[in-house]
Amino acid sequence: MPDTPAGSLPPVSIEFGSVEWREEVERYDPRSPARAQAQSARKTIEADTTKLDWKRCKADGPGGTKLPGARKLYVPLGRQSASQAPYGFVFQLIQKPDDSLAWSMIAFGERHPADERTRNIYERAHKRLHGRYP
Amino acid sequence: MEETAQAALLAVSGAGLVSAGLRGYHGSMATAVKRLDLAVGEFVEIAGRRYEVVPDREGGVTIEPPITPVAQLHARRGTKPASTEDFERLSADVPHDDEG
Repeated sequence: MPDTPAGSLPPVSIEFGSVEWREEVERYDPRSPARAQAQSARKTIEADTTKLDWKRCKADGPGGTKLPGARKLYVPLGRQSASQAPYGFVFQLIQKPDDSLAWSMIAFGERHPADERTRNIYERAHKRLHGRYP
Repeated sequence: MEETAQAALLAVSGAGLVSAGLRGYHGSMATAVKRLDLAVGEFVEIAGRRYEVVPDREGGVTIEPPITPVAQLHARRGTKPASTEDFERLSADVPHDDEG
């Protein structure tokens, strides 16, 4: 499902790797709201019928998170506030062996976990990018 | 990060591991405590599941299901991070917010 950038740039696909999906989404109970929301959002993204409300991640973010080259979507899609969209996907722009570009999902989780021991989505994305928590 | 450091744990207690939901025996059995000398970045296997030792927020450690680093995924798939130029070209009009 392509994400078509402005102008004449070629479309960029959006990919959900099986490893990342298992580690990020399937860690939640199958009946959990988080997992259901992730599955619903993925279905909408792959259907490519909805304009996606992308946001850039910060190269130097709160809590020491460093997410250069990454963008995010809040979940449920189309909602912004943390109360209405408590989850998010983070994607890294990657270059594939055929030189095409794709947005590859690297993290899914809570934006503002109620349990302070729970890592938020930005910390999880940082760990996947850098191999350790900030 | 050393990924080969694994240990099979049968019964575990201790601050870090208790926080991961692991507790000793209950009922008529005495609690069996197995002390582990684990460092951040090591992996353990419990009941066939793999966990990574990570820092908690209180100066200790805990365990959690591992997050495979993108470097490993790129190596497997033959992919790599796109250039900064490509990212900026595609994201010039995409806004930030203050979250992260």
